[in-house]
Amino acid sequence: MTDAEKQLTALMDAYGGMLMGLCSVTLGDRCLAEDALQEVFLRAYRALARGETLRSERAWLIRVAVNVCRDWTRTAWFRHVDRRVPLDALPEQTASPDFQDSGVLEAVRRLPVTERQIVLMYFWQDMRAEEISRALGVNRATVFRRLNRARKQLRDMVERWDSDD
Amino acid sequence: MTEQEFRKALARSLDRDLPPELRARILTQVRGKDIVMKKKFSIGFAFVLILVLLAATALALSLHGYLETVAGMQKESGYYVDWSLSEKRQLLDAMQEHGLLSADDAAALTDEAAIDAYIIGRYGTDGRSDTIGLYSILETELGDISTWPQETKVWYSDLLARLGLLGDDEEIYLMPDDASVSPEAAVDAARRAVEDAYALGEHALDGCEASWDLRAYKDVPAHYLIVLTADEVSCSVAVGTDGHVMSSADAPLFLSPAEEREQRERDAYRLDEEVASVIQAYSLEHGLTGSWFHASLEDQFAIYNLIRPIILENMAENPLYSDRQSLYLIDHPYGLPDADALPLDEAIALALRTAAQAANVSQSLFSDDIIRHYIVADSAQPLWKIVVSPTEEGREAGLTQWLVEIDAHTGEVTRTIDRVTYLDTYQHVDGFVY
Repeated sequence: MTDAEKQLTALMDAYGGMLMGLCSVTLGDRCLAEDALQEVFLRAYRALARGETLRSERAWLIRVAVNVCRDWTRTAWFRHVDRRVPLDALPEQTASPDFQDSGVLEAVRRLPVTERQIVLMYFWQDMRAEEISRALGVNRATVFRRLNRARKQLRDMVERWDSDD
Repeated sequence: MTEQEFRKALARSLDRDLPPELRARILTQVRGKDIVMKKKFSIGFAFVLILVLLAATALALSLHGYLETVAGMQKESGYYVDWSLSEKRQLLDAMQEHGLLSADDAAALTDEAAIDAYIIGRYGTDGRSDTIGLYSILETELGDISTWPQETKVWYSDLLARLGLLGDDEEIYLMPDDASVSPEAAVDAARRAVEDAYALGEHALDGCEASWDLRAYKDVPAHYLIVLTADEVSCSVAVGTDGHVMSSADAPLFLSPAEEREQRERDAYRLDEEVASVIQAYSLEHGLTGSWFHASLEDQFAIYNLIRPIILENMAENPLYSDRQSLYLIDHPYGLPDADALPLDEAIALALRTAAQAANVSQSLFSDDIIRHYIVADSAQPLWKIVVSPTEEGREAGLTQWLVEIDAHTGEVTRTIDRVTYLDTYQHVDGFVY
């Protein structure tokens, strides 16, 4: 195994699951997400093979993943497929989701793509605004604006679940 | 639900490992072997990049001086969390100068801790100081950006551009120029398009509330975004500066009212929330936790009998009904084992033996977390559908879930398949665990 392959393997171990979740929720299709992830790691490998050092590798990988997903959502093909992905069509989970978890994920899926990605990074990956800003290539004001917008929408849904209870 | 619970729910839903077969596929590819993507793409969308010249607009809003001071400090030192004490005092001075803070109140803020508490209370989000910057202060003082006058939005875009704070993924607000249709004409075009899409009749929306802004976004041409509101229902329409109603043909970002209506109708029947709420109500009433697929056969049967008529009615009401799980359930009804059926414990034992044999592993690598359904799609051949899951040790060894279907009357295994193969084969037909 070459050095680049070893580094790639380490990246896949460290970030593969996280990127799979990000791509799956962004694209809403498991096959698409896998293909997107394949492309992301291929780009990472090419960079590593050129001897480049990936500074802030998590942010770098997320940024590439976001770009790949965005390019693919722009294709005519993407707009004509059923983008709904049931939980069962995602890769195996480490813990079984319950009803409320499914509702949470569904609520996130209903957000616009840009807000969806920020919600995942902020609430799921616990990333700081600065890191999200680097990963998405937007300034922090944009991060907060989208986060606030998403939070308002999610809060409505969360309140609805609570009242259902 | 608290934010912490929300975070945990997301983690439970999303935390997972990279699928081993995908990992192998990537490694194979980087080693130079041919790999065929599951789906082919053509990333050939051609966009015309419009370079937008921003014209600074002189505005009389008294807060602009204050906000420019904030922007300058953000440019210099980042967000509030990184500001020095003298910069924090400079902020207070600017607030006083613009009438946002009285001299008495300012005098009471004697040390840095007091200043921080005041500023975080006024501008922070969830008590955090790293969220305080130009935008959070703008939003606090001027309200949500959607409520700002267009002149203020343009000023904001210009301010970001001047200070180099404009991100590469940012909307840029513009004022209409001589080459563009007027905002009134754009609003009119939007009204007509919505009336047409929803068959509301000519001029039905003439009296409805309408707001607009003009913006460019990355490589998407400048366009008006019109929001029409009537009877608390809102509809947004993008209209090009030449007056045409934009659709997905212009850019994937847009949906014309007609396309949006079609999408909404599909969405409404994509996830059957009525069914979900019935399942949830039953679960709460009977103290079920976790997925109902894990419930007892009796509970599964009871739930199924509650939701089946609802699904059938919803299917009859709309030909677009496409809740895949519900459709699957109609074709695979749950039942209860009859007197001739293989007992459940024997079916489970058989499934475990079969899965272990198929996966070529020890049975001990499967956990006691077992999903079981009794399917009566064919009353002459009811099926035990058993899903066995790996233990943590099994998971680490690459073992996945296995589905084993057994003819309940004869005890013959009719299907054995692992989750990965199943999803690759049937993912557009049905799910794995139902």
